[in-house]
Amino acid sequence: MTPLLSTPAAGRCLRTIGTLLHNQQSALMPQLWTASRALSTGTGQDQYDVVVVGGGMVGAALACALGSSPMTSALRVAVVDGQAIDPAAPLPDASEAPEIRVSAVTPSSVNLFRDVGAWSTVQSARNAPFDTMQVWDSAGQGFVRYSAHDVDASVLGHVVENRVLLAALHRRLSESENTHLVCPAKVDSITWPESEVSESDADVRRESNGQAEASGQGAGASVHLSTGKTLGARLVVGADGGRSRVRSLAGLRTVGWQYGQRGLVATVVTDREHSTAWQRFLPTGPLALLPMGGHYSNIVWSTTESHARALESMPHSDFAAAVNRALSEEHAPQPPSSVSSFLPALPFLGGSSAGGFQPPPRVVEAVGRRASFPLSLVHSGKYVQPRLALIGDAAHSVHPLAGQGVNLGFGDAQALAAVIAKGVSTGRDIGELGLLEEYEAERRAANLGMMAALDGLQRLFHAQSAPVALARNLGLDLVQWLTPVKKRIMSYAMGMEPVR
Amino acid sequence: MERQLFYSLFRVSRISSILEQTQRSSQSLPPGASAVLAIAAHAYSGAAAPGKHCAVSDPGSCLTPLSDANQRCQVNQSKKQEDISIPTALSPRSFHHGGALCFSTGARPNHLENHKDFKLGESGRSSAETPSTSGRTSEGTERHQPQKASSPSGKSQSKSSIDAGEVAKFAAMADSWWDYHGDFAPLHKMNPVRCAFIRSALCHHFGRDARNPAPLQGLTILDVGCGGGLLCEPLARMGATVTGVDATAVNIEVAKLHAAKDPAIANTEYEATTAEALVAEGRQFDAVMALEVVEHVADPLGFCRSLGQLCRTAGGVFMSTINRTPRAYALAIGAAEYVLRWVPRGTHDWSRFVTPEELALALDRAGLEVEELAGMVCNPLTRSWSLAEDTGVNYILFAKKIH
Repeated sequence: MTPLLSTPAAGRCLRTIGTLLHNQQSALMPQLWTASRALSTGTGQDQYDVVVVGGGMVGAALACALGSSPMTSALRVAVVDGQAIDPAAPLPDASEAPEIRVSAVTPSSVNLFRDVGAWSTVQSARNAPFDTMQVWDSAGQGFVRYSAHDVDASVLGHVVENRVLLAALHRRLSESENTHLVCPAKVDSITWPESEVSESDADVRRESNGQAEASGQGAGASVHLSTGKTLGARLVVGADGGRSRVRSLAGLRTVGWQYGQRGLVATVVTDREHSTAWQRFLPTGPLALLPMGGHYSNIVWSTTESHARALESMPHSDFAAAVNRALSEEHAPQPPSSVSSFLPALPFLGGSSAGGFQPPPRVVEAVGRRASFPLSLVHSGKYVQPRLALIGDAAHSVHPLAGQGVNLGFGDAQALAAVIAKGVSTGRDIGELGLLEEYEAERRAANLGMMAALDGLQRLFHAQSAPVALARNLGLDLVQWLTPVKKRIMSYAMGMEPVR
Repeated sequence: MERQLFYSLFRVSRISSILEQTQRSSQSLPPGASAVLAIAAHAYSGAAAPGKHCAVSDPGSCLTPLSDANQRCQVNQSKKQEDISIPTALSPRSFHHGGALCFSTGARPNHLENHKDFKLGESGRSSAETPSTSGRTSEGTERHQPQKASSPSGKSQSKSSIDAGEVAKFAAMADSWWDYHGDFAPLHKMNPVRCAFIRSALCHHFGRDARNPAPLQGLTILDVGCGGGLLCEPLARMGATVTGVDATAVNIEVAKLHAAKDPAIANTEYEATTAEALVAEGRQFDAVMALEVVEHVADPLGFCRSLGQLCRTAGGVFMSTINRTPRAYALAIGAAEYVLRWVPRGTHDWSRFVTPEELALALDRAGLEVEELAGMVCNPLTRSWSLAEDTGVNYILFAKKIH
């Protein structure tokens, strides 16, 4: 074709040009990439590589992760949200009382925030690291105390207000040039590509095939918005929460159950500062007291519906008293426990550096509003189908025990971004089922494991019969004294690989 | 350094002497043996047992067929005589591949078979180099159409000549080619590993930034035996200007139809033609791909020479195939064809499998020097494919053009 280039000299020229191109590429590429997409739209719709429906913590984390990796930063990403997103919104003032909606982010999630450059913002706002976790039972003397030192970490996690996490991610979103905020806008409907739908639609597909080709409809999905806009997408990501619109539009079924309980959240002031996540299992459900920085703490109290309603509406002083009662009274005296009395005789089991049982701080007063929400477990049968992936609560919502819900979501975002990057590096269509299934396989295992563990815990601690109560007390004691077992549990809860 | 030493050793004259020996043996075959080519065609479908057939190039040609079982034996004998000078095995090399190259896709082993079926036509023609064989090849190919499509493979040369019914048929076939859980699932699972190797080797060879999402901008690539375009599309997304050829016109229509759906790769060119026809046209490319093809080729040496001719001076050739080892026999034929029945019995003929050493020799004769070699292994538990040092079953290599 070009015989000139077949001479050695020309070959050198070619290499030189190649080198030049190579040097310019990092600057050139996004435009080239974008240009090819822009050309691709003949139908008047905005063409994107990824349309993330839901600009909440998990959806924003995905968009940030895509924007910050060199392999995926050239992808055109749209974030659709029903509410306006203001990336320039000021961070909440640390002097005012914290919001009631908080997350205990694990070290693994912190890594995601660091990777996308959002952690420094979180650090500049209010956040409360905790290095110890104490879990104890109201029906006996069993307790377990986890310390970050047990796993050679400095912290077990950070308690951060959701609005801080969100603001940190939204700031990063606005800095990534190929990420576009499409909000406020709601998703009306989604058109999935004809030739990639399931078997049952095969007949429809056959009939409409010629037309689809004729109309120039590409292999992508089309997201139709309430604003009248239509976004073309190679991949639609449903990050729109537990009642995901995207999930229902895709016809994906879920399994799950209600626990017949509500989770109540509140902000309280305690008599002392602390850096421990306290969790006590009461006959009605677990009560968690999380440090929020300063004298502030956050309460997550899972209990019966009527009790939750009562707690929600009672005066501040009554609520503070109720929390104190639940944390330190109405049960058998505090440990020393039965197992601990003989286990230390076995030194190979290893002692815990966290030490013995500590009484939780006393709540002085309740501040701000309280709210409650129903507890349920929901798991989508599938996370993916051609051109669709679900992440976060859209794929699975869990019992808020141990605050793992959002961490599972961040794990999804991380995994999906990595799979997309891998797909781009090998030239795959990022919406193709084969690629998305790699994400599903990875996350399904992780999520189901955590969901089963949390569901099991909930059921275990909800039971009040004497044998079960005794067994779990012994169990807590055993966990407390079996350092290797404890380390595994902690690593798991922190989202880390098991420690040897 | 080590690499250069290795390959300079490899190119020593003794190797040529082996080839010459082999060549002499081929010339000792009875004249008119090319008639036996017709039998060889059946070997594609596995009807013939190893050794029953032989494939012979034009006696006047200097090409040496390596595929015939008998001759292969002679190559092996020669090897024994010469084994002091020949490395016992090419070691897999991944000079610049970091861990980045190894990733899993989740697959079954012996993914190749279906794909090969679609390359038979291509392969047959590639090796035959005589017009008389093309018709037969078409027959052979047709047998392997998915869903036994009834359209004669040589029929449609351009999309415009196809009526709506035909389009629907191709669309159905496209669904089959591009169904990740369908007939080609094993190939889909393996494909990313091949793409990772190609990407890495091309970035290294052409000095491209491997962190770039589309590092192959400006490179022209030819995919010989492109099937439904499973390799062409990823290469096009990596930025390359891709031409896919397949002797089977139906495959070309499928590939065109699928590529047209994605504007980002719509500039990919597909042609129902053969490597030899492109050589005759004087076409040249920066890189030439022939993946899972050579084990179906009657004349690997001639095939390699064609690939070399299609390659620009600064370019290179990628080939992947199955090694001729007992393990490959057990997995690619024993397990895949007889035990698990993932592919029709007779899809493969073990005696046609090519070892990396033989392939390197053939490429050397075609003016190509092996630069990179890696095994592709499937973890049967996770069903994931990855690049590895183990070239005992599937392997892929990159050879740069030296003259």
